[in-house]
Amino acid sequence: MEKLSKERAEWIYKKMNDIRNFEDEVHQIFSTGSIPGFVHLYAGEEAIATGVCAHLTDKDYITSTHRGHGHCIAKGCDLDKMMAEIYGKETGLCKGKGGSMHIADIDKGMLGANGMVGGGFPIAIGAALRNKYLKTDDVAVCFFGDGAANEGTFHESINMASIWKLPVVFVNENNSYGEATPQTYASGSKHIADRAPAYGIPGETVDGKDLMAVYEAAGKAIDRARKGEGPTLIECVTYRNYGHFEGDEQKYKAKEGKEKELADRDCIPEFRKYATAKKLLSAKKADQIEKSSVEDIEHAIKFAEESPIPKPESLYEDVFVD
Amino acid sequence: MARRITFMKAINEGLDMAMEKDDRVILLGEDIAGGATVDHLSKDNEDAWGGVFGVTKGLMPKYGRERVIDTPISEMGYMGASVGAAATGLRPVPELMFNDFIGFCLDTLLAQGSKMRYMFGGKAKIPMTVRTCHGAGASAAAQHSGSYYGMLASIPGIKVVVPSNPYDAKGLLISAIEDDNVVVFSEDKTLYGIKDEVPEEYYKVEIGKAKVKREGTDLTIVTIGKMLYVALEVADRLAKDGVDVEVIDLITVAPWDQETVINSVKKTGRLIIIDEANPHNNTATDIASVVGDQAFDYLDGPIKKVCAPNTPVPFATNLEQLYLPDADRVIETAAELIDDLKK
Amino acid sequence: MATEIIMPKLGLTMTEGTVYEWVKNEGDEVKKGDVVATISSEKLTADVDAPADGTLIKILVHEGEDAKCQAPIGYIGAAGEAVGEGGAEETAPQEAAPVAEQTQPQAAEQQPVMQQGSETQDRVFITPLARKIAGEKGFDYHQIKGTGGNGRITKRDVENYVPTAQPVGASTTASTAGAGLTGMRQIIAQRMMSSLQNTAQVTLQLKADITNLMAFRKDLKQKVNQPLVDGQLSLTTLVTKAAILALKDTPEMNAWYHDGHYEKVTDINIGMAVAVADGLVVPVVKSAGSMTLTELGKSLNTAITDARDGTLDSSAYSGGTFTISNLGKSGVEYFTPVINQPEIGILGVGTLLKELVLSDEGKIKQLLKLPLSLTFDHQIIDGAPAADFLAEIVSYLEDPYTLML
Repeated sequence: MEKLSKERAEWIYKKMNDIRNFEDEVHQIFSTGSIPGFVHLYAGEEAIATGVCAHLTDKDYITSTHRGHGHCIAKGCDLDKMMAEIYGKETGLCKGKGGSMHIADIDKGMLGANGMVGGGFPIAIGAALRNKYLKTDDVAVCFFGDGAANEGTFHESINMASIWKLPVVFVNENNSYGEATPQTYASGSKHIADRAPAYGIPGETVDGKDLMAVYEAAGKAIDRARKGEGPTLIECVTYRNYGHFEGDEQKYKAKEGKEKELADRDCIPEFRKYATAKKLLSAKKADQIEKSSVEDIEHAIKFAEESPIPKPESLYEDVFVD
Repeated sequence: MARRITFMKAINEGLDMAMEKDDRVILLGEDIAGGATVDHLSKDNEDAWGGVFGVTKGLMPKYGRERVIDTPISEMGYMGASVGAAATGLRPVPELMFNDFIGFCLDTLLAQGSKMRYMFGGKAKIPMTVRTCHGAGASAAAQHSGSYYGMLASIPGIKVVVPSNPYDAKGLLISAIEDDNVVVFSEDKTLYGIKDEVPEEYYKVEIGKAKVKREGTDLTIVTIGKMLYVALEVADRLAKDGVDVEVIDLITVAPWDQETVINSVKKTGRLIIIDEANPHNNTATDIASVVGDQAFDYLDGPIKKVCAPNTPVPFATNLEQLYLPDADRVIETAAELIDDLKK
Repeated sequence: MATEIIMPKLGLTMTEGTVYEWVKNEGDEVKKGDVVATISSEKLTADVDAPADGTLIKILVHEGEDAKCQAPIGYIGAAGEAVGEGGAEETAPQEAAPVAEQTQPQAAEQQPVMQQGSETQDRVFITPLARKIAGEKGFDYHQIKGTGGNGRITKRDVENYVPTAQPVGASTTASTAGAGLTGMRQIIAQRMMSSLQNTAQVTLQLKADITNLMAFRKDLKQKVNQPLVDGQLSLTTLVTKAAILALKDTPEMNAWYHDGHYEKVTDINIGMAVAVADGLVVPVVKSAGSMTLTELGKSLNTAITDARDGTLDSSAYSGGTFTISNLGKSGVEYFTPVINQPEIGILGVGTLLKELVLSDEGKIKQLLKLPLSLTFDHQIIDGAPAADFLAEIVSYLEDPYTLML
């Protein structure tokens, strides 16, 4: 596995900030009513998407979840077009027809956020099957939440990935709640990664707030996948800053104790501290990144707000390949 | 003069030729080869089954287990993997052993494969052909005999074809595999043994185009799949009474050929639709509604639907025969539409 | 409690009438028997009298609007009394219309009131295609027998249909005739159109030599030596008598063809076409077959005079079995009178002509000739018997003694 380079560290820091700023702004704008529909925010989990995607190229595939903005940004989706999509505008990544839950960019290897909990597993192994069949060393990464771990697709897909040694990494983002239900209530195994041995694959639980922990675990797993040694299950323990969806009262969240400690940790300053200490990131560069990230998100909002809504005839377009 | 081969062989040949032509075509399914990793079979490069009905027999030995992939009994897993493989450039042909198993994996068609292109603003292509089988008449009872092509046809973004004969089966399957969309190819399991002339070459039968199988002026009968043979019997019997029946094989259930059906009804003024699916919200219902709307002024009688009853498929042979529409039932159900035509 | 003013039923075949004029206005005081309104029906105009003393508190059916017979057209009550909304609605003219007739918006609907209960028989089932073809061919599909399921009329039924007999006035086309006209004009328009569309009219023409008849008449007048005030020997009476005698000889002509039914009538009821100020009426002399010339002359005189004055009882306009129309005064010789349905024949009388002929002895001689035009319905009677019937009339007119019997 490649050691974290200065360049990669800067990339990660920029992406982490982009995600956080993007989500904080969406949170704000959503409350004004400018964004239609359901929105599920990724803020708080930035270390996972960026720590994993730091190892990927555009030729690698990822599948995502309904909480997919962070994966999109980490996989290189255009911020302007993402924001326009969330606004339901013609200039959106999906021409305004997908929305927050279905942002996708196949050219970037982003196979879509997915409104179906657990919907990404079989699609990811399908992409991995393709990679293997075409004898590429590309991989597929399946991001999934702790709730999705209890869907039947988890079982079927991980089992198949295992028997066929598919180049896929299953990255669980255990943010402690599936909707409003604690992961500890909904799962029979204490850790989701504990299930890996049952499928005959490696499994590991890491601190999802710690960028380096994720980066290193993902790096190992992705290397293994590229070498044709099969899938890995990584569980990243994390916490979401916002509710399940915008408008969630979050009555279920703990006000104190270990959960509160986890909630209060912020992966972004933690990584800045680590990276500057390790001389991977200068304070000046970090400040610069923070500033440019704010500007980029402001630009995205302006772009989205000024973009036209989709033309009525587009309702009928793209149902089939003609 | 083409050879006469079975419906099953025609499908096998269609798969074979499609795989030969394009190595992005892969097959996935439960026991579509069978005996994966079994030493004595591996040694001789043999498949155990070639599908539960033997439709894919011989393809694994020819193309290898990389392309003819036996899956665990995990319908949502391999159907979803097919969506993922299709989205990333392969042309998978998963086999859903019986269409009755759609409940396990409906999400992959309902929420994923059918919608990706639209949701992603036209950027995705899902060139995937789901082979499955339907139909009563094999004493397979309620969970292995239903006809759900109409249910799938109601999902936008999916094409659904139902061939009635070996010639169409081969050509349609090739068209389906070449199509860049999700196509459900639904085979009537009770037709697997019928034989007909099938050209040896690679050819296509157009999706979305119905065929007039018999021309007539008095009455149009539209059929889906096996029901063609019921209609042809009805036509023969009514011909003796001087009633000239036009029979249309719909072939494609989604998108069905409105032009051919409506033109025929404009000519004859009368319409019977025979659909083996359960009667409510099925394809026959849709055809009746569209014809009632688009050809109202041409109708010379009520539109008659002859379908299976609104029951699961029964096991007992006599009950199953009662379940299936047949010529007697058509003539009886549509008597008020037929009787005054008799000379 | 308000009293209803109803649309009167004037004669057997009247089903609805049109309010021609309200003589009184809402708020006017009326006495029982006062004329409050004038209505027109298919045959005539009649006054409607106040059924009670009081005030005309509500006009329900306004001038030019139609109402079914027996339906209220207005209310008389105490001054200031309101007619209850519910009550008025319950008795509103539209409500009184039989269901089957709601598709016929105009007054010309001529289904007898007795058939109100038979609405299910009147519901015709026809396929969309058959309806379209019937419309294109101008067929009234009510006349077509359906052979499809549920008795439905199909394309084949329309294509096999040969338009023939149609019941009086039931034709959709006829019922739309007279559109834009009102009162008697509309009724005449409808009846004339209906007659021409629903009967197979053929007119035969023949001259009667009435030289002897006129001489006989002159002789008789002198012998009686007193004015024949009742018109016993008027030409109209004598022609009518000849027609009555011929009808007795040919009972097939004294008949009705109505609603698909042909019916010979025992009584001979002679209708006489009379021009009035705003149109044409046909008063009927009932049971004319047994009348002496005096009785006949007297009845004809009364009928014609009263019709012109508008004082004839409405029932005197219906029940005719044969009609005579005389255009002699206008100098017309022959014409093609239009059958007065449901009758099957009508005799047109032309102007008296003087003709010079060479007698057997080779002398020039003046004859008096009366041109007669008989229109008959070929659906019922063929040309030869109709011609015989006309010749029969002529022979009576040419032989005055037989007329007197």
